[in-house]
Amino acid sequence: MSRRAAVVVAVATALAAGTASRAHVVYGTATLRGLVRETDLVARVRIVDVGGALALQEPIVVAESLEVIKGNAIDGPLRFVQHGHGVPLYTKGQEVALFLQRIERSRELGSLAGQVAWVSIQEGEAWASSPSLVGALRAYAALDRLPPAQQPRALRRLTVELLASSDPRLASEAVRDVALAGTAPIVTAEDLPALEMLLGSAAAPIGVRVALLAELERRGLVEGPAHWAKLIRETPGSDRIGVVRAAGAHASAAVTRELVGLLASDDPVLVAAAAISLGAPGNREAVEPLAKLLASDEERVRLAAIRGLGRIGTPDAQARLAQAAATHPDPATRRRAGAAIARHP
Amino acid sequence: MRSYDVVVCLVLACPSLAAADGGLRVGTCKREITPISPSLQGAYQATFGVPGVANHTDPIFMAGFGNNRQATGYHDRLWARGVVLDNDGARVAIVAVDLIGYFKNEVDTIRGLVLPTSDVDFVLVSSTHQHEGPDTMGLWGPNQLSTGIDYAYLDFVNGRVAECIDEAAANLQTARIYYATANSAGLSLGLDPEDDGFGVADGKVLSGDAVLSPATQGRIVDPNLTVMQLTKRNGSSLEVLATLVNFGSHPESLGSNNTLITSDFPHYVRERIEALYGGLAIWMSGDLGVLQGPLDIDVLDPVTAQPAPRRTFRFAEAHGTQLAERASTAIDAVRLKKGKPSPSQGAPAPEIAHATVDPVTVRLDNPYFRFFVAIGVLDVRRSLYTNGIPDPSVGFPFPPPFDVIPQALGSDLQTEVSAVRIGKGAIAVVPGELDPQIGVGYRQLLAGATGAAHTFIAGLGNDEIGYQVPYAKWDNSCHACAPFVLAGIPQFCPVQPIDCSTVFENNVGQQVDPEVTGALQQAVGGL
Repeated sequence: MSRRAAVVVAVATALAAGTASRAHVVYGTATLRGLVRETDLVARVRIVDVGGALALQEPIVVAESLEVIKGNAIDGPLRFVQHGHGVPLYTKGQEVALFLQRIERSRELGSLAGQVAWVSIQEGEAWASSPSLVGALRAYAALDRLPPAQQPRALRRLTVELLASSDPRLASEAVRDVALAGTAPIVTAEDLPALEMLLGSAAAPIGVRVALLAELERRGLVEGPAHWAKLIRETPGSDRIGVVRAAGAHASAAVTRELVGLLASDDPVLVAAAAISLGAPGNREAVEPLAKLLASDEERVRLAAIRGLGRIGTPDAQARLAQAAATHPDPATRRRAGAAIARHP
Repeated sequence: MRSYDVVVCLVLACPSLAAADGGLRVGTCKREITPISPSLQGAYQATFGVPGVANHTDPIFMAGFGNNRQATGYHDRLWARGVVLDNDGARVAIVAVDLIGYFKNEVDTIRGLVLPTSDVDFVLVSSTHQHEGPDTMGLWGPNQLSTGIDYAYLDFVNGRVAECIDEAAANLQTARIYYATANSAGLSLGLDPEDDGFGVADGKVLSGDAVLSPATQGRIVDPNLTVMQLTKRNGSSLEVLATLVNFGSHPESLGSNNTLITSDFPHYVRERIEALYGGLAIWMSGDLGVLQGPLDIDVLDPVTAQPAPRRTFRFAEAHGTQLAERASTAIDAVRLKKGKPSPSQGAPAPEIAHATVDPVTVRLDNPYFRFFVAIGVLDVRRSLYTNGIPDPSVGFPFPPPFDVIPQALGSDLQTEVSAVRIGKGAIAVVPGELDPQIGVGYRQLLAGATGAAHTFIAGLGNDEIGYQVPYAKWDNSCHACAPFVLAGIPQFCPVQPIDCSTVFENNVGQQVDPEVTGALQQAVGGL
């Protein structure tokens, strides 16, 4: 394996883990894969005590270990504190998966080392124990025990499997791993049959389908425009709003045609979403359709058209905004058109 | 020697002394900005007893913690609350919005929407940074690849904030201004290892902090609870028009499991202040950066005489009420004379000045951000700039074998920084989440340069660019080792140990502090 290829593989395994972020500002919490990698102990447990309101220190949660998935076996009850930005709430008797680090690794809570051995760094909703979750955790833990050369292929297989999981949370975690892997081969052309089936599956969560399409397009594994147009066209109900919003970041002639077609909808919310997504810099094909929306009776639609035209930013888009700023019968629309010109001179 | 790329705007907006015939005039306003989606209209009506008009699509993604936290109902309304202050032609608008953050481009849109007849010289929009409301930055959608923003909702907010300012400017009344500064000591119980009793906890101890504050093992908070109150004469009594309370703490006490829309503890601060005084109460978040917040403190529930359970509305109520009462005690000490309101204690014609540096150019040092921008995961929702020109380019700048890792190549972000003086009070307007030990310096800067006796920090003011860490305490290991970390071989990085905590990993870079500080110095110099 060349050094370059080795780095690609390393990027695949490292980035699929998610970075060690407990971010509240930017790109969120570690993925499930990341939690398994970052922690010293992963266990399926039953919560015994969540710490009382009268606790004289950081509440200590006590759990009974049901299965150690990663790390050494535990004697007796498992006692841990939580740290981070938005830690899970547990209830007595709840069966969950825990992701624990040795407390000596915590700068803020190291002083508790004599009282408690573990700190949970997990943020967000608790991972309630389920067969699918436990299966995924076992697979992630087993993956880390493989020889390094075998890990990328195993991770790829597992990722594709989880993308198609009927558990939407697992599928969502897997698609985040795909994104975090950058250009690394966590999914490849070999996986396309399964992945394309997933893209077309109405049973799959729409968020996962949208995110997966974006990733496959970025990787050059699928032709984006046709897939985006198809997804816009075939997604029913309120899910379509999400697709329309996402498609705005993947401008193409095919997407523009599909979005322009939606401008004739009776649903002003859908029309507004399409108008905003048509606002890609330089998207001249959308200028006239958006300009027509300035006459809409719906304020939401007019404002969306102004935002779209402002983002397009071409001279003809600016001229349409200037015209609205000068002559539109609605004073608020005139002001907003004027403000859009000021922002996109 | 430091320099600035461009100083487009530096405004000195008032004479050095108030004109003899000048006088303070104040208008107030509030506009509800609660996001209402079609599926939550029933919940809105059930909670507030009135029908809600949908202004947001389904679902409403809640900001601040993990992805895909969808709102299921309401606890209290979100607001834009503002005052317009005018003296002798200098007119500033201060609006606090119950939002996670609001980017400069949207604030500039608001400025464009304010009526020319409102004649406002300077608009400050400060986000409370509450973590229990809608995603207005795009980072908390269904997953990390999909925005959580409904742009039509931003249009709605922009319109409401502009209307709010117009209304306040159209209803100016002769007023007086009072200031007080309280100390937050004792507002929490100090039971937790991270809680030193100041009503806010420091969740991130930086290298060197232990030397600066050995008594707290390096935990540093800003205990200043600063209050501005505006009154008008009503017959023989004084009527309170508005009370603004400023403190540095994340409004996130409900935590990550709550799915009811709420402004968090500021709701209770405002409710208590308005119960005490009437008028309009405004919460403005201060130097809350580098993980200042209430998640690791305990507060006394006066009903049970026990600590209020964390991450409950009961906690938020107890905490918010106690903050309000501390502020009230402080302002009463100033405003009352022999137990009665006294106009002589207030200033009738405070000098109003403001200065802004725009743009403030901050180099983007963070290779992780550059990576995530390059692959489209992180949409900074604004251009990167190189030499002042938008630059969307992407490349592979690392040396072999790391030259497979893509990076966005634009050099800089652009933001703005302002300073405002209103009589004995001065405000540092900073574009992000300021570490309180920097906030202390900003207060000294404001007081020293302007003579202000009461200093305010408007955090997330007119922008949100993330953490601001003291330059000297910057730990570059995480950024320097980025290629190794991204490639999964951090152990081979020549810089060890590596601190890739969120404060350093999710940070524009070391230059944020000197650039913002330099801009603030320049703005203060313009007052």
